[in-house]
Amino acid sequence: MKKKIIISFLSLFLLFFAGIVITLYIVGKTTANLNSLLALHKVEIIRQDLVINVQNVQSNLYTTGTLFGKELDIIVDNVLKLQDRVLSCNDCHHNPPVAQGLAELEELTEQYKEALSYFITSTADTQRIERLQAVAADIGDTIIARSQDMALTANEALRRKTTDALEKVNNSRKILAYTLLFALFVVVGISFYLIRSITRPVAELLQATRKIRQGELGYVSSFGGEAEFKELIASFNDMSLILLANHENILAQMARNQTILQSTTDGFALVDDHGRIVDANPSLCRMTELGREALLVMHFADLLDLGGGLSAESLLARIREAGSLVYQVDVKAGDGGTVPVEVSATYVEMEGNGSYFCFLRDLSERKKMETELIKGQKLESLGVLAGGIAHDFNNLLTGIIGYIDLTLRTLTPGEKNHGWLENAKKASARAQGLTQQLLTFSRGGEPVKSLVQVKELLEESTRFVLSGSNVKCAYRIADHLWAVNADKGQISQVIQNITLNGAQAMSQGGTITVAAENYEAPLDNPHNLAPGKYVRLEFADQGSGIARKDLAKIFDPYFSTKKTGTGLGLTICHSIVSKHNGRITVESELGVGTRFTIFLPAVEEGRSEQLVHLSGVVHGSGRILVMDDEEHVRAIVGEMLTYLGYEVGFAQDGAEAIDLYARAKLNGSPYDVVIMDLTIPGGMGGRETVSKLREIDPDVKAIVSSGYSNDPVLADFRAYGFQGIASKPFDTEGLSRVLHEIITG
Amino acid sequence: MKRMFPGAQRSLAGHIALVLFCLLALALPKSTAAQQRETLLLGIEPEHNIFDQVERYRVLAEYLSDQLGIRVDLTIMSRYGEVIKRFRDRQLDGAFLSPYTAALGIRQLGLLPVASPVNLNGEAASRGYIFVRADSGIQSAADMRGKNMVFVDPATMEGYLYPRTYLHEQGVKSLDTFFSRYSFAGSHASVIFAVLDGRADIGAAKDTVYDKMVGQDPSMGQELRIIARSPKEPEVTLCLTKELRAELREKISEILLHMETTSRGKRVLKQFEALRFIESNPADFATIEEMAEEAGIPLDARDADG
Repeated sequence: MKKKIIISFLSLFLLFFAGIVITLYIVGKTTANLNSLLALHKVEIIRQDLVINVQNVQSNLYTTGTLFGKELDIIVDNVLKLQDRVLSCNDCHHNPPVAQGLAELEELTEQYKEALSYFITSTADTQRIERLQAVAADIGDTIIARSQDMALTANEALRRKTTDALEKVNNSRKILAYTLLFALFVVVGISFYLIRSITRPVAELLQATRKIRQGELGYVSSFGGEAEFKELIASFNDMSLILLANHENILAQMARNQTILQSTTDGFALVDDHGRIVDANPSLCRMTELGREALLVMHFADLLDLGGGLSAESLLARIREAGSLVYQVDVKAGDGGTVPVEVSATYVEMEGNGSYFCFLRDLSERKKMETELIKGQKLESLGVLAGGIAHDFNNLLTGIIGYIDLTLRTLTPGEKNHGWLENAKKASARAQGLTQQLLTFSRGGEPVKSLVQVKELLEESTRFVLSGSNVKCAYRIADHLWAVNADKGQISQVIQNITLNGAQAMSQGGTITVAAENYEAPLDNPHNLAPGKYVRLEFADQGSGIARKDLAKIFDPYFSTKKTGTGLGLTICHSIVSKHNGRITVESELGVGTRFTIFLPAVEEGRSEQLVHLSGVVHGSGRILVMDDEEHVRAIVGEMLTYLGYEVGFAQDGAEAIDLYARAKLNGSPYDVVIMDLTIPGGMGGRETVSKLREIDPDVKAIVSSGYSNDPVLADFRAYGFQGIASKPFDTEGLSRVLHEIITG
Repeated sequence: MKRMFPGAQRSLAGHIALVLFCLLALALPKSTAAQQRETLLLGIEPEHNIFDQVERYRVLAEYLSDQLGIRVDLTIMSRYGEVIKRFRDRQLDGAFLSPYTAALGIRQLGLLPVASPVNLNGEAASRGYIFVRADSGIQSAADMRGKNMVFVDPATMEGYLYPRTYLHEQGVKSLDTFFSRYSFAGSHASVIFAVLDGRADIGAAKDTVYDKMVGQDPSMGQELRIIARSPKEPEVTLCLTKELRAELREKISEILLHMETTSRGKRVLKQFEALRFIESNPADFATIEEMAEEAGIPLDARDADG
């Protein structure tokens, strides 16, 4: 555009310059014509002067010597004027014919002068004087005649030149008019172009700014224009797009902020400088159980239950002084109660007006969690205590069961003493189940799996729970039920918990239908099970049922519909089943009852049969090293092994066991199996001992024995270098089977 | 009487006062022409072509005007003798005079000769020729008897005084009886043409005019023959009236005598057809006086108008 403006103005200048040149040329030409005309007129004047002078001289000539004669000086002046006129003709005429005529005229003038001189100075001889006068007069007449001829020529030239000059003046006038007209068109054209080049982009920009002012952000002008305006419009378009982007960002930010405020679980209140609530979000409405309209006419102080310690004004003043403050307070709820909240308040001054931005976080759940945490911690402590008790109980039961079992083997069945000891052994077995529950409750550890016949487990567990209650079980257990590889104690706990829940749901008594059947899950099954074989257990009660809204949360920790419930029973069930790679579901209908379904992975049929074949005491031979810190445990285990035919050695801890094992091996009478307690207070336990024994003898055969039947080492004993386990309390039969399996490979 | 004519007494006294005033005015010395007009008027005597002559002298007059700071006008005479009368009638301040009229003016009017121009031939003086047509058969004064003689003007030395002196020396006492006819042509050129044309047998003219015309047309020299030549006398002399202020006269003399020393003076001299001006004095005209005495027309008795 700058270049075009410069070119335009340069063009205008050149046009102006050309106009001046043309005008000067035309004026010069016209002036030359006029000068030519003036020159011709001047010639005519000269000629007339010449004629007049000649006539004057002729008059002088004729009157010389008479009364009318002029003085000689006057005559001389007239003649000299005449001569000047003749000579002045030569100033203009250079045309040869004219110049020749003028030369002749000049010559005549010279002759005239001479003749006059002769006449004037002659003083004698009248005839001669008259002759001289006549000669001079003739020459004067000739001059007049010549000048008349010249006049005719000059007049013709004047007429011709006048016509020519007039024609040239007309042509000049036309040229000037055309030049002016052309210049006018060019100037108008250039002006129109420049004005259009400038005003169009400006108008476009003006329109664009109006559109933006009217809210059409992001308006992009497609106007091209010249380089500078194109750049300006491009810059304007960028600005418009940036404005739009910024505006959208701001709107998005506002929307996000609004969404956050509207969707956050925290309550929000915007409080003005006077403490009035000017904005509130839905969470605050829910928290306070008040409508937004109700909140917006309240003071913030009206919302808080500050007690008697701090006034609302003091609280706001503290926030204002600190800039921001976090404090806990109770908020009055609509039902007359209070909600504990944590208020995070910030004071901001904008344009001279102060505002408090208050976020209120509902602490009810947190308080409840804290309560539950405390409760959990208490339970954990109780669990530790229970675990310890169970461990000790198991050690004690090992001795009790062991001795009862050995005593029974010395008595004949049917004897009165035999029956008493059988009852004592059963009571000890129930005590073992109790300790198992205590251990499961306390540790919740990995299941210590073994092949379990589900039918027996179902019957034992349900009877144990329902013993003495008005609820009965109806069993529908399929024949040839597959065995499961499960932690007997944990699965028993699951059965007991579900049965107990059903019994509690039927406070007026009823029947719990317990069913068991084999289930082979296809690839695509409705229970989301991996394809394979399962044993399906069902427990259907006739209780009040569970509400639909509670059904999804029934396995959540600490969720309970019972006022006295811990909320952990079904959670433990879900955890145990999941650890057995099984699945537990629940169906319920209010007033009809609840049905729990459990899928437990089944083992091969052959292994189930093998379990059957291994029942009964298996005697053997060999050297067995028993490591246990409890003396009565070492004693009863020694009795059991001796009864079974084994030679027994004893160690109190790992170090002694290693020493004995090493020496026996050196003596050529190595131990075939080492039975070692997992936990030795103050000494090397079984886990570390087996590791060191494997250093001495990589083929060492070790059985881990522990009162903590749910210890992770027991659940995966092979990974720790053991070949078998013997969970306390165990009887002679169980011990014999484990030893037989290990020794026979 | 007194009671009867009191007004007449007062009138008489008035008239007496008027007469006394006029007498007083007349008694005051006359101012010069230049002082009255603040111009200088110089006269010129006619030569061959009075118009060319005036043009030449105008250049000189303009130069003098510029140098003097006063206007210098020229006036030409229709004949030679007229200048003396014009000195008186027109109150000329000076004039460029031929030798005879200069001598007359000096003698009769007390004119003061100032300077004479030196012509392009280096001559400041001229002489008179007495000439005839070559085929006229006139060889001497005796052959002139009964012939037709043409003079220039009675006031010219070359064209009248010298031939009168020559004829007187040759024993001619009366022109009327010696010639069949004699006349005055008015100018030297007219005399020469008159002889050439045969309208006169004998002519007398100034040598400069004669030589110039012969120089322009040598055939004229062959057609004419000079019978006698006069002694050389100052050709043209600027003579000023004695009434002119002495310092102005001296200034004029100074300007003219030093014209050739300035570039403009040289240009004017060239246009004036002269080389310079030389000083002139009354003694230069002693021969003219002698010639006049000898011819029987002494300068004192000579009528100023010729």
